[in-house]
Amino acid sequence: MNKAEHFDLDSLSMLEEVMEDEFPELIRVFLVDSAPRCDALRQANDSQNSDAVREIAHSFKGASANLSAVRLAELCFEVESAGREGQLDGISEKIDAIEQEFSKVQSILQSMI
Amino acid sequence: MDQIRILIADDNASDRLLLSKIIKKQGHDVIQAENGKQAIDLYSSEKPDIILMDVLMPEMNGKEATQAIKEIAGEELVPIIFLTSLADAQSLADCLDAGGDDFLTKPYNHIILKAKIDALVRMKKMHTTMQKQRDTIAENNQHMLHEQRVAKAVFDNVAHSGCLDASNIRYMLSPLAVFNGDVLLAARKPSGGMHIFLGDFTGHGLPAAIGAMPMAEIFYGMTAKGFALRDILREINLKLKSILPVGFFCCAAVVDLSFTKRNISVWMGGVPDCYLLTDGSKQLKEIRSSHLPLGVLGNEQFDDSMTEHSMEPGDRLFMWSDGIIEARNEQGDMFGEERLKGLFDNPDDSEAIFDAIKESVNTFVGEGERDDDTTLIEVRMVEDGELVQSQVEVSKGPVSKPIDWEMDFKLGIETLRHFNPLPLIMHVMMEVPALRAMGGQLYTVVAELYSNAFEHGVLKLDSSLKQNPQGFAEYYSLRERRLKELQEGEVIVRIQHIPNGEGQGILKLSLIDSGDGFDFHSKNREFNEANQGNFCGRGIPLISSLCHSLEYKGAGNEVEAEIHWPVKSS
Repeated sequence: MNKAEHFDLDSLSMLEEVMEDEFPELIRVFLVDSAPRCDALRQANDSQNSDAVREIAHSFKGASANLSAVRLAELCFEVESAGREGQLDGISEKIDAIEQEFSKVQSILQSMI
Repeated sequence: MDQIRILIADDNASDRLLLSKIIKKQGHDVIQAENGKQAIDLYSSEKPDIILMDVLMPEMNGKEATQAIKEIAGEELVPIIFLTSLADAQSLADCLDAGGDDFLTKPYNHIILKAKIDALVRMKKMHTTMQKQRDTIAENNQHMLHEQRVAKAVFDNVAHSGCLDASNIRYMLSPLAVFNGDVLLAARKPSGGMHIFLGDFTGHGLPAAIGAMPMAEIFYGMTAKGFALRDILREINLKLKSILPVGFFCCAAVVDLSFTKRNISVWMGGVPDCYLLTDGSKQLKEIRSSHLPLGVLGNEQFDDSMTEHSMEPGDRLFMWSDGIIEARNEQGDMFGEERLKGLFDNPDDSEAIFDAIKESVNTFVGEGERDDDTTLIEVRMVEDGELVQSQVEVSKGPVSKPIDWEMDFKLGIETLRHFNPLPLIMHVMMEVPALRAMGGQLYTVVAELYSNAFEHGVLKLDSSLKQNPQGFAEYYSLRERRLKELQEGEVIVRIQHIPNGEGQGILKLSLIDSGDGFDFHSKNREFNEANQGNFCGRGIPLISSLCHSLEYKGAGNEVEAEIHWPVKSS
């Protein structure tokens, strides 16, 4: 797995440096927080609640960006934008993509602690 | 940088963890909220110095929470940094519009965050300093106004003892609560006339009030003791010169008004022209200032010369401070001397001039700002005796009973030549409270007896000379010459006070001169006849109504008057 495809490596090493011994804790909190988000997105999409889609994607995007998971943040941004515009057509494929990207990010992060 | 407390409001646990780690490493305290509502509660209870606020949060979003917190904070400055991954310009601008002070975009950069926190801490410190200074200024201003009000109250107490309420005076003083630099004083002289003082100090408030207080004291004190107005002016000038800093002085118009001589002597320094309006012919005479203000020159250079103007009953003198002339309307134009003089030109009713000036100035100023003092006084000449001599308030000293004392005051030739002893003698006699009420009459008695002893006794001048105008002139030139050539002589003033039971006393006043005396038997007879009401000359009836006895003794160079008090009013 190529780390650089999923992360901004400079940012990630800076993060590691800043967090020191709390880096593992940060990763655990991120993973615990994020795990339910894919299901939540799917539910919001099923009920055609574009506001909820936007809010969840927005929050997920912020958290991913801070973990320098840039690819995941980009995908979240696309879903967030769709939610903002109320255009939920074809969103479920994007949610699938988010889920796949998250599982890769998860494996990489877990390998780091 | 001092340690401060920072509130993080973000619904992402990982974001909070990251931010709090960064902030703790910078040495600050962190508290955390998961949504807008919690942020408001924590702000109220923990009073953080800076808030990092996520925009999109459940419960209540960042913008709403910011508005609520800014409202609670009131004047306190709570810098709020919005945490945002919003990238478009409008969204960032919206954050600032909602009350944010700055924003930080995700992913967080700890170097930028530190710089922003430091900048906001500086801003907050500056704000706190500014507020403290503002509060200090407001407090100082309150304090200053309070002090000025106290100064004004003290000044009013010092200056109130005058006779501004006499029936021949009308006056107007601007009703400012703070002392404005204008002073208006009037006092009856023991000899029956009146001193009037209109002053205008440079500046306002405390500096002006400080100079005004000793000035009023001197004016009233010396007038009551019978000092001439010139001496009073010299004393005031000397006092002001010594106490006021350079650049502070008092412009003044000062009037010595005599009802018997029907004239006024005027001294003016630095004030606008005064107007003298005759009653019959309605002629207007302008009296111009010819001196520097009081408190400018040392007493060697000070010029106390006064101009004399005759005034018939009904004639009126108008004086004002420059505030009248310099009163401005809304357009900033001055009322001016032309307008003022115009009111005197063809008055429909000359009696109403005073009111016309007042009204005209008020109408002119309108809604304009009153920035100077508008003081105005009208003094009318009246018949001698028309005014009731104002009653001097008899204040009870620590010793309420009449006491026994005696003094001899011997005046040698140098003193006789240069010094007027009357104020000093009056001062001693005024120590007897009951005599204060009749200071004016006593003054006349002492003045008469002293001038007899000095002029007829020591200078050996013949009073019969004064029967016609030429004789009068001769008398005074002779007086002048003898005064210069005086080689020997003296006058002894002896005052003795004896208690005479509860609430009563006897004042014995003797004058012994070094002259040859005269055949006094007729004088003693005159006095007795006067006491029967047969004598109508001036002076003697007054002396007889006041004195229990008046007796010439020795070779006639000694006279003794006895005054029993309380004096029965006749």
